[in-house]
Amino acid sequence: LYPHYASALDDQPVPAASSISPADTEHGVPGSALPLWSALPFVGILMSIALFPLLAPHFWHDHYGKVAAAWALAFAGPFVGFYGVPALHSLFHIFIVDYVPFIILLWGLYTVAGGMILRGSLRGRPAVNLAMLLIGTLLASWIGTTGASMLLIRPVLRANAWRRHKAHVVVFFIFLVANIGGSLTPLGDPPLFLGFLHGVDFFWTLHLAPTTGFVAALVLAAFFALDSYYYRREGPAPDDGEKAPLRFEGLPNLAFFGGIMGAVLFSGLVHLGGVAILGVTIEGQDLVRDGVILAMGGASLYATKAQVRRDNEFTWAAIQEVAILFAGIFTTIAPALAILKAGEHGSAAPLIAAVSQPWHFFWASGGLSSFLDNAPTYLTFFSTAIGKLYPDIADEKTAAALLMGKEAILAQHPTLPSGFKFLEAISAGSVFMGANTYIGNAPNFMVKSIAEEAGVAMPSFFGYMFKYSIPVLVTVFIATTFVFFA
Amino acid sequence: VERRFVELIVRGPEQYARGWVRGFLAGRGTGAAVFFEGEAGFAPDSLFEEIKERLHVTHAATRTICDAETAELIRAGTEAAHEPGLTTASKREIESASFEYRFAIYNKEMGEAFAKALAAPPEGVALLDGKQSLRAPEEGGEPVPFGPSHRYEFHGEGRAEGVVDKIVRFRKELAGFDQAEVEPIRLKYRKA
Repeated sequence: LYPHYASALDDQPVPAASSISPADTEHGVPGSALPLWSALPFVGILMSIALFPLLAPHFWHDHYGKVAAAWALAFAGPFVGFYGVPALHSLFHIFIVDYVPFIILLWGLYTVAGGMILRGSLRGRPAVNLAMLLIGTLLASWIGTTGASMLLIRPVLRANAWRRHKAHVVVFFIFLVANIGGSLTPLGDPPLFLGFLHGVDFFWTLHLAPTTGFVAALVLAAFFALDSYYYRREGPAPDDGEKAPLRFEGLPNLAFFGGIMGAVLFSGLVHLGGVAILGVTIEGQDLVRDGVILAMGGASLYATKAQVRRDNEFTWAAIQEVAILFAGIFTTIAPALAILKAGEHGSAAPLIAAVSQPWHFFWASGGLSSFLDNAPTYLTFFSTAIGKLYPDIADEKTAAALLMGKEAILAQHPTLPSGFKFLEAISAGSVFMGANTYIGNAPNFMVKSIAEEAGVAMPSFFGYMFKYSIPVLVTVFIATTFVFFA
Repeated sequence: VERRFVELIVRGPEQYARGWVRGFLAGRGTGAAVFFEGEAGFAPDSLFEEIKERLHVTHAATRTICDAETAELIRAGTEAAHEPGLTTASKREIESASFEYRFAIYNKEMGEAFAKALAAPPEGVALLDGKQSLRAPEEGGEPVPFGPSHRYEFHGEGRAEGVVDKIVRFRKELAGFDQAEVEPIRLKYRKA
């Protein structure tokens, strides 16, 4: 993304030599030449995604595509008008290398997850609810937070339909299944897949296991205590006749998940060489990965009984919305990333200077992920860390390897620090803190809407924050800071 | 004939007063409905009373709401029984009771049942300042990641006003809907 974006600016006036970082001079004139306001459309689209659903939900429902297009055009119009063909090339590069694989993966996981259903009756006692949340937390990293949420939310709602107090079950489901559980692989949560696309190893995120385990254990313990308290006040469950045994349908989809995981792994381990399309190099292994994911999604559509998808209320509306909004996000994100990568030579120098410790990155990426979508937020702080720690490293793969703390690469750059703790903090902050509000992560609103359609009185936006996420999550994240990032 | 309700203040240790009144009425076999402060959704009489209630401070006077005949029985009962420390004090006649409600229902079955309840409130209960809107698009509205959309949305608010016992029953009925909120019952007193 970055070198191509930089190349689009090569012919433009060069800023004063003192303001150009060595990385800039190596690749033309990138982020250090860009003013902060060039990132306004990016901020605008993220703010629109955060605020419109709260302030004007019906307008947003009917016109979100137009809003995203308006922000994309607000950036792309002047950009192409000013820089011409190189700008078009740069946008094309973003779409081919970042956007298309991102959407293909989300589409694949969404399609395959929508082909599985858990039937049967469970009784929502505290131990049963705890077990369901634990299973969801463990599943989320392997089938995605959206996939795990889709698979388990309806069984959880059915199991708790008789309970008088059940909103807290859904809230903790959002905390654990729709967010925290997705932190261990790039399949788990979109930010981590973006990291993977930008050079982070597939299995590197498993380093987050102790942090995830710590956070999940505390949140599950808080849930069990709260659920037990409510359960004791509600009295025994009504006897509503014979129980239907638990039954899992859509078994072939587990194999399709395996296929998707294998394809993503393959693209991280194998190098088949590149193919140039309109001047943009696409790696052969990435093409194979995307092709296999599409094939897995297609096979799922073919092999799954229509009744399973009907019972899951599966539609394309969710993935269509994601595809449209992320087209806008990926169009507008380029200047923000370039500015951040320019480090203290760029116009975001005060921000770069302000974040210097891993715990700063944990809270900065987490704080923003609480209110803005966490995928672009992750990428923003990923770039910030590169700009901060490795402003002289132009190659993003090398910078990613340094962030991962790879000893072989660090040995080649003995003066540079390991970014391990920084990347860990960014990954954990972006994934975990997406749970802080309804707008922090994509599945949150979906789970809320499905629960409301089942008759659950979900807390308001601020009710969710003040009754649940601040007392529980923020407390746990403060403890996490001291244990892992201080 | 519409029953007249009154607010009777029974002075004495709160738990004792409540127990005595309930036991006395049960013994008389009247089957009359009696509501104490904090029960059945009655709002505290003042901010001071509300604070006391929230802090679980025991009241030295128990606010009792019942029909006029029952109030007279209680008064006579406390006098006749010479219960130590239990007396009836002020009595105010209640003109009407009311509560506000609002709802945001996203489950069609629940929404239709709620609409049915609103369409036929108990006799003696009037719905005032009611507003409601229904949105059920034939297409779209499926749950999506970046918006709180629903296939069925029934929103509204209003106020129910009427006779005390009917209002209590109607409030309990509406409170039974998870996605409806009901405010405490407020009383309007007849001018002396």
